[in-house]
Amino acid sequence: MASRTAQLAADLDCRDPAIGLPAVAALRSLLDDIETMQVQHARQLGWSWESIAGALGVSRQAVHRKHARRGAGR
Amino acid sequence: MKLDAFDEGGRQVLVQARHAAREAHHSRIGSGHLLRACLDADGPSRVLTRHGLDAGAVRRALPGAAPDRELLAAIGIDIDPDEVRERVRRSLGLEPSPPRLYRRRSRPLHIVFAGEGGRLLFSPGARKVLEVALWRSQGSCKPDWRVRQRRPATALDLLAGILADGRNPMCCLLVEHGLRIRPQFLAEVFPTAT
Repeated sequence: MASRTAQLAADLDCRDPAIGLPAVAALRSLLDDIETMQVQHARQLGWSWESIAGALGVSRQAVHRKHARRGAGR
Repeated sequence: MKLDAFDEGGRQVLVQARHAAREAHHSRIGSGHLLRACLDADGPSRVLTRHGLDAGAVRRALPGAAPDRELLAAIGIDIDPDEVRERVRRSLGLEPSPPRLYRRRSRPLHIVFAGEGGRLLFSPGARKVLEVALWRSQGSCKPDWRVRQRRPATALDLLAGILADGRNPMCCLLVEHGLRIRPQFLAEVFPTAT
Protein backbone atom coordinates (compact mmCIF):
# COMPACT_ATOMS: atom_id res chain seq x y z
CA MET A 1 0.00 0.00 0.00
CA ALA A 2 2.65 2.47 1.09
CA SER A 3 4.87 1.55 -1.84
CA ARG A 4 2.01 2.11 -4.32
CA THR A 5 1.45 5.60 -2.94
CA ALA A 6 5.16 6.27 -3.18
CA GLN A 7 5.10 5.11 -6.79
CA LEU A 8 2.23 7.42 -7.74
CA ALA A 9 3.83 10.28 -5.83
CA ALA A 10 7.07 9.81 -7.71
CA ASP A 11 5.29 10.62 -11.00
CA LEU A 12 4.37 14.11 -9.79
CA ASP A 13 6.94 16.25 -8.00
CA CYS A 14 5.38 17.18 -4.65
CA ARG A 15 8.08 19.83 -4.06
CA ASP A 16 6.58 21.80 -6.94
CA PRO A 17 4.02 24.26 -5.55
CA ALA A 18 2.08 23.93 -8.82
CA ILE A 19 1.33 20.36 -7.67
CA GLY A 20 1.32 20.79 -3.89
CA LEU A 21 -1.14 23.70 -3.76
CA PRO A 22 -3.78 22.18 -6.07
CA ALA A 23 -3.42 18.98 -4.04
CA VAL A 24 -4.36 20.93 -0.91
CA ALA A 25 -7.30 22.45 -2.79
CA ALA A 26 -8.42 18.97 -3.87
CA LEU A 27 -8.27 17.73 -0.30
CA ARG A 28 -10.15 20.77 1.00
CA SER A 29 -12.91 20.34 -1.55
CA LEU A 30 -13.31 16.70 -0.52
CA LEU A 31 -13.36 17.75 3.13
CA ASP A 32 -16.00 20.43 2.48
CA ASP A 33 -18.23 17.99 0.65
CA ILE A 34 -18.00 15.39 3.41
CA GLU A 35 -18.66 18.07 6.04
CA THR A 36 -21.75 19.26 4.14
CA MET A 37 -23.09 15.72 3.92
CA GLN A 38 -22.42 14.95 7.59
CA VAL A 39 -24.04 18.20 8.73
CA GLN A 40 -27.06 17.55 6.50
CA HIS A 41 -27.36 14.05 7.96
CA ALA A 42 -27.06 15.34 11.54
CA ARG A 43 -29.79 17.93 10.88
CA GLN A 44 -32.05 15.21 9.50
CA LEU A 45 -31.51 13.28 12.72
CA GLY A 46 -32.60 16.39 14.63
CA TRP A 47 -29.25 17.57 15.97
CA SER A 48 -29.18 21.24 17.00
CA TRP A 49 -26.74 23.65 15.37
CA GLU A 50 -25.10 23.96 18.79
CA SER A 51 -24.27 20.28 19.11
CA ILE A 52 -23.12 20.06 15.47
CA ALA A 53 -20.79 23.02 16.06
CA GLY A 54 -19.49 21.42 19.25
CA ALA A 55 -18.73 18.16 17.46
CA LEU A 56 -16.98 19.99 14.60
CA GLY A 57 -15.04 22.18 17.03
CA VAL A 58 -16.21 25.50 15.59
CA SER A 59 -18.59 28.21 16.79
CA ARG A 60 -22.35 27.83 16.37
CA GLN A 61 -22.47 30.97 14.21
CA ALA A 62 -19.78 29.62 11.89
CA VAL A 63 -21.50 26.32 11.23
CA HIS A 64 -24.91 27.99 10.86
CA ARG A 65 -23.58 30.56 8.41
CA LYS A 66 -21.89 27.89 6.34
CA HIS A 67 -24.65 25.30 6.20
CA ALA A 68 -28.03 26.75 7.13
CA ARG A 69 -28.83 28.06 3.65
CA ARG A 70 -27.79 24.86 1.91
CA GLY A 71 -31.05 23.30 2.90
CA ALA A 72 -29.37 21.19 5.58
CA GLY A 73 -32.37 21.72 7.81
CA ARG A 74 -34.88 20.29 5.37
CA MET B 1 -33.50 31.79 -15.66
CA LYS B 2 -34.33 28.14 -15.29
CA LEU B 3 -32.92 24.84 -16.44
CA ASP B 4 -36.27 24.10 -18.15
CA ALA B 5 -35.43 26.85 -20.64
CA PHE B 6 -32.81 24.51 -22.15
CA ASP B 7 -33.41 21.30 -24.07
CA GLU B 8 -31.64 18.02 -23.31
CA GLY B 9 -28.50 18.95 -25.31
CA GLY B 10 -28.30 22.44 -23.80
CA ARG B 11 -28.67 21.09 -20.28
CA GLN B 12 -25.98 18.52 -21.01
CA VAL B 13 -23.55 21.30 -22.01
CA LEU B 14 -24.32 23.26 -18.83
CA VAL B 15 -23.90 20.23 -16.57
CA GLN B 16 -20.62 19.28 -18.31
CA ALA B 17 -19.32 22.85 -17.97
CA ARG B 18 -20.17 22.83 -14.27
CA HIS B 19 -18.40 19.53 -13.85
CA ALA B 20 -15.29 20.86 -15.60
CA ALA B 21 -15.25 23.96 -13.38
CA ARG B 22 -15.61 21.88 -10.25
CA GLU B 23 -12.87 19.51 -11.31
CA ALA B 24 -10.50 22.45 -11.82
CA HIS B 25 -11.52 23.91 -8.41
CA HIS B 26 -12.71 27.13 -10.00
CA SER B 27 -15.30 29.08 -8.07
CA ARG B 28 -16.93 30.19 -11.32
CA ILE B 29 -18.08 28.49 -14.48
CA GLY B 30 -16.24 30.30 -17.28
CA SER B 31 -16.64 30.49 -21.06
CA GLY B 32 -13.72 28.06 -21.35
CA HIS B 33 -15.70 25.42 -19.48
CA LEU B 34 -18.72 26.10 -21.69
CA LEU B 35 -16.61 25.83 -24.84
CA ARG B 36 -15.08 22.54 -23.73
CA ALA B 37 -18.59 21.19 -23.09
CA CYS B 38 -19.75 22.48 -26.50
CA LEU B 39 -16.90 20.61 -28.19
CA ASP B 40 -18.06 17.43 -26.48
CA ALA B 41 -21.64 18.00 -27.63
CA ASP B 42 -22.68 16.53 -30.95
CA GLY B 43 -24.38 19.43 -32.74
CA PRO B 44 -21.94 22.31 -32.10
CA SER B 45 -18.80 20.23 -32.64
CA ARG B 46 -20.08 18.99 -36.02
CA VAL B 47 -20.81 22.54 -37.22
CA LEU B 48 -17.44 23.80 -35.98
CA THR B 49 -15.33 21.07 -37.57
CA ARG B 50 -17.24 21.41 -40.85
CA HIS B 51 -16.10 25.03 -40.95
CA GLY B 52 -12.43 24.33 -40.42
CA LEU B 53 -11.96 24.12 -36.66
CA ASP B 54 -9.23 21.85 -35.30
CA ALA B 55 -11.17 20.66 -32.24
CA GLY B 56 -8.26 18.67 -30.82
CA ALA B 57 -5.98 21.72 -30.87
CA VAL B 58 -8.62 23.82 -29.10
CA ARG B 59 -9.01 21.17 -26.41
CA ARG B 60 -5.25 21.19 -25.86
CA ALA B 61 -5.20 25.00 -25.74
CA LEU B 62 -7.91 25.14 -23.07
CA PRO B 63 -6.45 25.08 -19.57
CA GLY B 64 -6.84 21.70 -17.92
CA ALA B 65 -5.90 20.33 -14.53
CA ALA B 66 -4.41 17.07 -13.29
CA PRO B 67 -7.11 14.79 -11.80
CA ASP B 68 -7.62 15.15 -8.05
CA ARG B 69 -6.64 11.57 -7.46
CA GLU B 70 -3.14 12.06 -8.89
CA LEU B 71 -2.67 15.33 -7.02
CA LEU B 72 -3.56 13.68 -3.72
CA ALA B 73 -1.23 10.77 -4.46
CA ALA B 74 1.56 13.29 -5.02
CA ILE B 75 1.27 14.47 -1.43
CA GLY B 76 1.04 10.89 -0.18
CA ILE B 77 -2.74 10.42 0.15
CA ASP B 78 -3.85 7.33 -1.69
CA ILE B 79 -7.63 7.69 -2.16
CA ASP B 80 -10.08 8.28 -4.99
CA PRO B 81 -11.94 11.42 -3.83
CA ASP B 82 -14.99 10.90 -6.06
CA GLU B 83 -15.37 7.38 -4.79
CA VAL B 84 -15.11 8.59 -1.18
CA ARG B 85 -17.80 11.25 -1.79
CA GLU B 86 -20.12 8.70 -3.33
CA ARG B 87 -19.53 6.19 -0.54
CA VAL B 88 -20.19 8.74 2.23
CA ARG B 89 -23.34 9.95 0.45
CA ARG B 90 -24.66 6.43 0.09
CA SER B 91 -23.80 5.35 3.63
CA LEU B 92 -25.66 8.36 5.05
CA GLY B 93 -28.63 7.66 2.78
CA LEU B 94 -28.62 11.15 1.22
CA GLU B 95 -30.12 11.85 -2.19
CA PRO B 96 -27.85 13.55 -4.76
CA SER B 97 -28.98 17.18 -4.92
CA PRO B 98 -30.82 17.97 -8.18
CA PRO B 99 -29.26 20.61 -10.48
CA ARG B 100 -30.92 24.02 -10.32
CA LEU B 101 -30.23 27.18 -12.33
CA TYR B 102 -31.41 30.56 -11.06
CA ARG B 103 -30.71 34.27 -10.95
CA ARG B 104 -30.18 35.74 -7.50
CA ARG B 105 -33.01 38.12 -6.72
CA SER B 106 -30.84 40.46 -4.68
CA ARG B 107 -27.94 40.34 -7.17
CA PRO B 108 -29.36 40.11 -10.69
CA LEU B 109 -25.91 39.72 -12.25
CA HIS B 110 -25.30 36.51 -10.33
CA ILE B 111 -26.49 33.42 -12.15
CA VAL B 112 -26.14 30.41 -9.88
CA PHE B 113 -25.92 26.76 -10.88
CA ALA B 114 -26.61 24.70 -7.76
CA GLY B 115 -26.27 20.95 -7.58
CA GLU B 116 -23.90 18.26 -6.40
CA GLY B 117 -21.22 19.92 -4.28
CA GLY B 118 -22.83 23.32 -3.74
CA ARG B 119 -23.49 26.44 -5.77
CA LEU B 120 -21.32 27.77 -8.58
CA LEU B 121 -21.62 31.17 -10.21
CA PHE B 122 -21.16 31.88 -13.90
CA SER B 123 -18.34 34.28 -14.78
CA PRO B 124 -19.44 37.56 -16.44
CA GLY B 125 -18.43 36.24 -19.89
CA ALA B 126 -20.24 32.94 -19.39
CA ARG B 127 -23.34 34.77 -18.14
CA LYS B 128 -23.47 36.66 -21.43
CA VAL B 129 -23.28 33.35 -23.27
CA LEU B 130 -26.33 32.07 -21.39
CA GLU B 131 -28.23 35.29 -21.88
CA VAL B 132 -27.64 35.33 -25.64
CA ALA B 133 -28.65 31.65 -25.87
CA LEU B 134 -31.94 32.34 -24.08
CA TRP B 135 -32.55 35.54 -26.01
CA ARG B 136 -32.27 33.54 -29.25
CA SER B 137 -34.54 30.77 -28.04
CA GLN B 138 -37.25 33.09 -26.84
CA GLY B 139 -37.85 34.53 -30.25
CA SER B 140 -36.83 38.07 -29.42
CA CYS B 141 -34.41 38.23 -32.36
CA LYS B 142 -35.31 38.82 -36.01
CA PRO B 143 -37.37 37.95 -37.93
CA ASP B 144 -39.67 36.42 -35.35
CA TRP B 145 -39.52 39.04 -32.67
CA ARG B 146 -43.18 39.94 -33.04
CA VAL B 147 -44.26 36.33 -32.66
CA ARG B 148 -42.14 35.69 -29.56
CA GLN B 149 -42.20 31.98 -30.19
CA ARG B 150 -40.52 30.26 -27.32
CA ARG B 151 -38.53 27.07 -27.68
CA PRO B 152 -35.96 25.49 -25.39
CA ALA B 153 -32.39 26.72 -25.94
CA THR B 154 -30.07 24.17 -27.55
CA ALA B 155 -26.35 23.46 -27.37
CA LEU B 156 -26.04 25.37 -30.65
CA ASP B 157 -27.63 28.42 -29.01
CA LEU B 158 -24.91 28.27 -26.34
CA LEU B 159 -22.23 28.09 -29.03
CA ALA B 160 -23.84 31.11 -30.70
CA GLY B 161 -23.62 32.83 -27.33
CA ILE B 162 -19.85 32.30 -27.28
CA LEU B 163 -19.51 33.55 -30.88
CA ALA B 164 -21.75 36.57 -30.31
CA ASP B 165 -19.18 38.30 -28.12
CA GLY B 166 -16.03 39.15 -30.06
CA ARG B 167 -14.29 40.12 -26.84
CA ASN B 168 -14.80 36.68 -25.39
CA PRO B 169 -11.34 35.06 -25.41
CA MET B 170 -12.93 31.74 -26.36
CA CYS B 171 -14.31 33.32 -29.53
CA CYS B 172 -10.77 34.44 -30.47
CA LEU B 173 -9.45 30.97 -29.61
CA LEU B 174 -11.86 29.38 -32.11
CA VAL B 175 -10.77 31.75 -34.88
CA GLU B 176 -7.08 31.14 -34.07
CA HIS B 177 -7.61 27.41 -34.46
CA GLY B 178 -8.98 27.50 -37.95
CA LEU B 179 -12.66 28.40 -37.65
CA ARG B 180 -13.65 30.29 -40.79
CA ILE B 181 -16.46 32.72 -40.04
CA ARG B 182 -18.03 32.98 -43.50
CA PRO B 183 -21.62 33.67 -44.57
CA GLN B 184 -22.38 29.91 -44.81
CA PHE B 185 -21.21 29.42 -41.24
CA LEU B 186 -23.22 32.38 -39.97
CA ALA B 187 -26.27 31.09 -41.79
CA GLU B 188 -25.96 27.82 -39.89
CA VAL B 189 -25.33 29.25 -36.45
CA PHE B 190 -27.44 32.39 -36.73
CA PRO B 191 -30.19 31.30 -39.14
CA THR B 192 -32.57 34.05 -38.07
CA ALA B 193 -30.04 36.86 -38.23
CA THR B 194 -29.32 36.80 -41.95
